[in-house]
Amino acid sequence: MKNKGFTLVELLIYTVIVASVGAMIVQTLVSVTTAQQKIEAREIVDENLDFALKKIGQSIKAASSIIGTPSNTLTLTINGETVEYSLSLGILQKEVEGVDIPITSDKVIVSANNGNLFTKIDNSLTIHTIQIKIKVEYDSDDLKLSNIKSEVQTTVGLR
Amino acid sequence: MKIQNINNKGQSLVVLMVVVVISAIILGLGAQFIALRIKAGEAAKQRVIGSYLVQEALEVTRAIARESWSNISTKPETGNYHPEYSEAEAKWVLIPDGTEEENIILGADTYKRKLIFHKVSRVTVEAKKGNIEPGYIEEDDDPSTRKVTASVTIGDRVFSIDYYLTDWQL
Repeated sequence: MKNKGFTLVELLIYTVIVASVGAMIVQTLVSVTTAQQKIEAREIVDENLDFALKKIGQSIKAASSIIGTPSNTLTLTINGETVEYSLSLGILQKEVEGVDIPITSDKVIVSANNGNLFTKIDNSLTIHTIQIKIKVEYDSDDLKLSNIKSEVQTTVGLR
Repeated sequence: MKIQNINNKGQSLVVLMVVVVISAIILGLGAQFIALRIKAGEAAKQRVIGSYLVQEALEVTRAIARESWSNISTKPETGNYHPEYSEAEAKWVLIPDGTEEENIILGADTYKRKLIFHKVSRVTVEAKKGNIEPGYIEEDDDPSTRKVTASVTIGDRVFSIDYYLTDWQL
């Protein structure tokens, strides 16, 4: 009789401990999964931002002329060819002689940060720079992920 | 047999407690690892943004120097500067900040940026003539070269670069 009562109490304690540990593990796994998604989203945002700015920077340095700023479109002449950077549904595109090449992935939304994406600033008739103000956000319906974004401004001069 | 059974029941609880403690340790270490990765991700973001702000400062300084070398050569070595678009002049200008720094707010972060101009001297002895001296010597001053230090700070992280500008190669 004494043994049976002891087993019931033991079972209750066991159930409470297992439930607590289980809840803790589930909670931790959910947190770890969310954190992992945030880390991946952050990496995707920063890779896209860095890649887009490097591509635009290389084109500006190689360009002989620029038209069409301030706006979200940048039209350059490189070795006699027309190269255009523009935004299309949150994706940054590079158009070379009529052919569109996406520069950023559809996992992010690209937009101008505070004004226009491209602004041409001249310090003389022959000294041109382009200021780029860009915002890259992770494209997700999940609020925890959609607020992962990077905003930056930089300037590149024509050589 | 009876004693053996009681011992087994006691052991199962001890084993459970050990499992709980081990799980807690593993979960704690896992959480710490994730927290470190999040911190590293934030640091990587700030490094990317910081490097582009430094690049902007140098590109603008280069454009201002190309416009007129005197815009750079007359800058004193003491005091900070920052590049700014002047609406009135419709061009880039350098704004003196004294000991202050430019604040650039990007999202939730505030980056501090400054430019410092240094005089440069060159070796005059024949064997290494023309080389930039590691420390500035007034008699060997080269008025056609200036060293620019551009730095961006966020929290305790500093992104800095030294850049040489010459009035014949801009």
